[in-house]
Amino acid sequence: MKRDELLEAVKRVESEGLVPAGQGEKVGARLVEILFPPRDATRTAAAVVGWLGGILVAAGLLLFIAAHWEELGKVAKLTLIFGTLAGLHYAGYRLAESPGRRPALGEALTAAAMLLFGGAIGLVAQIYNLSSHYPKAILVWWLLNVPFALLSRSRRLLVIPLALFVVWLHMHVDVWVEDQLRARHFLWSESEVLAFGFVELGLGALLAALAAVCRAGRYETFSAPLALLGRFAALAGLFTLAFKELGSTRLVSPEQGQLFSTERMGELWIVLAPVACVAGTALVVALLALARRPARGAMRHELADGAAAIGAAVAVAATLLVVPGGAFLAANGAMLAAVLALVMRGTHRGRPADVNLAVVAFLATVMARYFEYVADEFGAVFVFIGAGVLLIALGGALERKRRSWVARAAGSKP
Amino acid sequence: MKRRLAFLLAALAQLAFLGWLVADQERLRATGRAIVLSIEPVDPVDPLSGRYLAIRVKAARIDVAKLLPELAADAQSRTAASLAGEEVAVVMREKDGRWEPESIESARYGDPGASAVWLRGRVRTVSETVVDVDFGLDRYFIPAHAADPSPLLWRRADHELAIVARVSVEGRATIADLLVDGQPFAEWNAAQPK
Repeated sequence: MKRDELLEAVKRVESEGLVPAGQGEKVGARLVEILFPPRDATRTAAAVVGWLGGILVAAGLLLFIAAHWEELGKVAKLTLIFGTLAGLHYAGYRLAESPGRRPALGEALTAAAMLLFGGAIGLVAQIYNLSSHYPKAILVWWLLNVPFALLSRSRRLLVIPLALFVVWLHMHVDVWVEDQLRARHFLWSESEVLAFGFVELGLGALLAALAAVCRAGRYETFSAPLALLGRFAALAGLFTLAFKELGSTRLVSPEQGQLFSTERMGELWIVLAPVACVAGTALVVALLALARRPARGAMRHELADGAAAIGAAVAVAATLLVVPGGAFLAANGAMLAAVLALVMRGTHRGRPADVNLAVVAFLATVMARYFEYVADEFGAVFVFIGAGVLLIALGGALERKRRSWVARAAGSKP
Repeated sequence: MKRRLAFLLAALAQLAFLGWLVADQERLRATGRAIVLSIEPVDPVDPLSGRYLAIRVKAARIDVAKLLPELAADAQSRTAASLAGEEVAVVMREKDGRWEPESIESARYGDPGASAVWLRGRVRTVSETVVDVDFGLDRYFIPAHAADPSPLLWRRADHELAIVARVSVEGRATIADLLVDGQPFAEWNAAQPK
């Protein structure tokens, strides 16, 4: 609801005699104050400038070391790396926490230190010519940055380990699946992408479970971004799995009598093992969340999201097992169900973000199907024109519907 | 007070990890046995990681048929296939100043012991009787202003690139230097025209 609409509504209530005459203006002003608190523009600007400055300092120091690689001895390089990291952490703590006179700037310097830690690992690896088969550096990078996000309870700082975690998970799964498949049959790529699709569903469930744990607790502020990213991850997974040509021939269209062959089962296990691990972790986290009885009501949406993501993964995997050619149909069906469920929940429970996410997912899916099925049949010119017309039509129709859905969602907010 | 301690511990954990990484490598370089391994440079420049020589240690491609000539062809293939994805112990022997594989076994049956020079690695791929082992020795970072040995030499048969690896008694290895025609990299680089 916008400010003008609120004031207009208060006037109507006043004219109906529900608010004493002459009090409408005061009530309206107070409601505006409560519902639309003024943004601290100076603090926001300070935070953005501070973040940019912190990133520049970290990048500049890494570049300085790189540019003076030969002149700097090993000890000087390491002193610079350790000194800068410790200095940024100290300055960040002093400014943000104790005494905490410049919280935005302090947060920016802590963020710079968190980013620099990754650069420091890279530089040490460079000094000693280290490399790793699995992405262990990124694992350590996100893992040792988590405490700073938890201690500061800052959503902005949470973005750093969260983004690194998502990258690490994909890289780890990529290496593991590639190892398994290449070592046995020299198969890759398509089955890896299939594994990614399933893992993203598992990731959606895990993030939803983490959001549930945070709900109504000390880390409540993390709940909304984790839940949103979880829904996005789950939809991304369904989007990936909804392509018809995904997966090796053995998996998607096995020969007669090969449906349950050892080779096919082995490959299916390789594709599904990563999602089994991630979904298993999600279940454990969800159980931890459920153990907090008083918060159960508050976390119902997150738990429903997680259950839906795991349910979708199980449905697509089961279809892939027994009706391999229909797995992509199951994914498309699950995507459609997810879109409808998000729109309905968004409009009924007053969650405009759900509606917007559903609209974006629907648009992306329709465009993907268009390019998958129609584009092959026509020339490039017609494909572009067709895609354009389709987008305009979809955009127009969805904009009209989305407005009414979002209005309903905003209006039905408790 | 508790909060301050928590922040301090979180920062110390990062510094401790970096310190451990450095100390571990320094220890390996100080105490590990130096062996020279011939290499094949495969992808000299990566725009994301700066200038490094992506290398393939020749000893990482092991033909089981050559190590076990007494076995029949299908037994050799089976042996190679059984190592797929396994952690392996590759015992090395010196020949004309370069080290090459003498035997390969799955590391799950124990290691060859401190008396042997051996490398621990993981089998990446298996093709027929040839196994490709990842020893973690696949990058040598070239200083920003140094000459790059790779484009000049890697296609010429009369030049040879090798690495000096330091190997611990547990089979872990780290690259200590790059040899260009037998010369340590710093010496070779100093002799290049500026």
